[in-house]
Amino acid sequence: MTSTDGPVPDAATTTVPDSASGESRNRRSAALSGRERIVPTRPDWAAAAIPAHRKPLPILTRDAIGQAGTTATHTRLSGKNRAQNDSGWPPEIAALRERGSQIRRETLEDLEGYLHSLTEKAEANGVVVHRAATPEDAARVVSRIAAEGDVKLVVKAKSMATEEMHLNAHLEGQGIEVVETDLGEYIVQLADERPSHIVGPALHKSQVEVGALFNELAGQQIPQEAEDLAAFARERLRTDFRRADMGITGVNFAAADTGTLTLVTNEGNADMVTSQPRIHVAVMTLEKVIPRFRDLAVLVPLLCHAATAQKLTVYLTMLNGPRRKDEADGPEQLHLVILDNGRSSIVGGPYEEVLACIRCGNCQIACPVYRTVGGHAYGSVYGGPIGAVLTPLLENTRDGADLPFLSSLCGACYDACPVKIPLPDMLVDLRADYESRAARPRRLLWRLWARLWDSPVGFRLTVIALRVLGPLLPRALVRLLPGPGKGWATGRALPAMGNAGRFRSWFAGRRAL
Amino acid sequence: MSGIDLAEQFRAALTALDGVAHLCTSAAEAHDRVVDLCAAASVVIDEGHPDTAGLAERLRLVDDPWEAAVGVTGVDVAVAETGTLVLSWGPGRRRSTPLVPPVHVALVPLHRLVATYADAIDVLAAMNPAPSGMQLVTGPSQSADIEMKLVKGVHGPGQVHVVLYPQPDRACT
Repeated sequence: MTSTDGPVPDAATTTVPDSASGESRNRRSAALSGRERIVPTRPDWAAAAIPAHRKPLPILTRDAIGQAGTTATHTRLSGKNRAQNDSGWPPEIAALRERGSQIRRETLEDLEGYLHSLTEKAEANGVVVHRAATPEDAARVVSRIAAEGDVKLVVKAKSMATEEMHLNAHLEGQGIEVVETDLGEYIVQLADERPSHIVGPALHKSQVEVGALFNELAGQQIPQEAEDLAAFARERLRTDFRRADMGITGVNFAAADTGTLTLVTNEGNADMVTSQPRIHVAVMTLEKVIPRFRDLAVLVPLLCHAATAQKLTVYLTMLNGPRRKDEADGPEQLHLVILDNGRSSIVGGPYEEVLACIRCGNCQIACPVYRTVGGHAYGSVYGGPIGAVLTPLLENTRDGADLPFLSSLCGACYDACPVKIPLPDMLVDLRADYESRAARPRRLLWRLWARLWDSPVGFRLTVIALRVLGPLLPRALVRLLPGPGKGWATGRALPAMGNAGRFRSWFAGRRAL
Repeated sequence: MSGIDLAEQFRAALTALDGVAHLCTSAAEAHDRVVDLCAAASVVIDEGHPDTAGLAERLRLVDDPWEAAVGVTGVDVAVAETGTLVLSWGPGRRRSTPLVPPVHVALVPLHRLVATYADAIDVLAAMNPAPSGMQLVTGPSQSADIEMKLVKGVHGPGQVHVVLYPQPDRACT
């Protein structure tokens, strides 16, 4: 092989200001440089941590609908829904849907067995496999790998599992820079927002918003066509692909019989992230395992159709292991982190089928509530119908137990689901679960009241107490209620309690006439 | 279906994705076409693939894929129905070659064409020993992350050229 020493003008687009090799190696992110100029405009949507105390649903939805851009997002999502779902499943995909549904349920019948086989195969292929019970455990595993590998800069391809772990915030807390490289993820990272959709993280952003964001990042006006903006991101991210010490990705499918990890993307960033840095960490939630490599023939086209109406995405990356001795590139280490986060306790229960999900995001697009309020209104990692079902079931997000109420129960999510998860039934059952739990103190209050008003004495006592004490209370008192009570009280005021019992005396007077 | 039919089907599928298919009548013509496509540009080539043999000395090679304008590869199989290229990694078959340079040129003799994606999965499943990894490429890199507008060439190559040609000594699959 020959080599040219002089400048290479036709490769000018790939020029990096400082060399990616040697001692002067710059290990800070180029893509994020200028990030400090960006002022996040939607702190409620911040990615770092979802507020421990979520606002009550009526407030969340009201705020979401009031956000600038919600109507435009609704219009875009509705167009996508019409294009994707109005004509139903084409016959060849309908056949894959039947087969895919079976494969996913077959997986759940022996999930632990397939995970065991996956672990054995992957380890035999040279992959280091880690099991993590909680998102915190998983984040610690990744941090440890980073610390042992002297990692300063991480490039990342999109992964919902790492969103469950709030991994970026965790690594940044250790002084490690993390750069999202999927264009949509890069956009929401710069804006410091959570992804609003499973496969289209920046679907809620208009081109104008993205343009303004990139202007702030660049510190100057840059060309604003979609192509220009993508080219700007490409240039900045290319530098980081070369500089990064570690790449982090999700996993779409992990084949138990071969240990093959498959990633489905359109931009090529996952290929960069898995091939350029010296360490690759793949993070999967445990239900991503599939029985056989050959199942990819069914599940990949099914996922591609449901997610983006493509026959196949541009890139399918299939990884068996790290770089081998005789190979010129690829990561020296490949780690697989398998995250549970409460999923193994869903197996065998009434909601087991939710783990059949292949994360296409089509139920979100099909959902009229999701399209109207947007993904952030759910206040959780996963929005839309799948999020409303999954969030209450996962270990670290059980406070989202009221999310099943954020649905019209129209059933569109079932029709849109490539693996036929009965989401509408689950939403109804989860509502019943919620009521049977949350209603207990309320039922006690009703019972006390009934006991009191069972006797004329008890009734008169409450009336007198209200007439005397009621006027002493400020009418805005209910607005001081903490927590969920605050949501209930919005727009409400105490009745004029000085009048308590007045109706009865008035009525008694009328009768006397 | 004959190799020519598959080639026509492949060309239609790739063209629909903004890729470019070149149909040649012989291996020699195919190599000439690759040299034309690369012109004076800097090139990285996968020399570990039999279908690229003899091409390297006719191209202006560089060592670093990041310095190259074009990456030239062979393929394991190509899928007629979808216009997909299947590349496995190994000695002289780098992950970066079809990925890092802005233009990817692939050589596909007709006997490497299969009809469907499922056929390609069968071929990959049968590979023994299994490679360290594989990449399936269906057209130029794209994104719709900015207001769902389709943009080409985001991280992977924005241009994909596939040069198809018959090899008389090899039967079509």
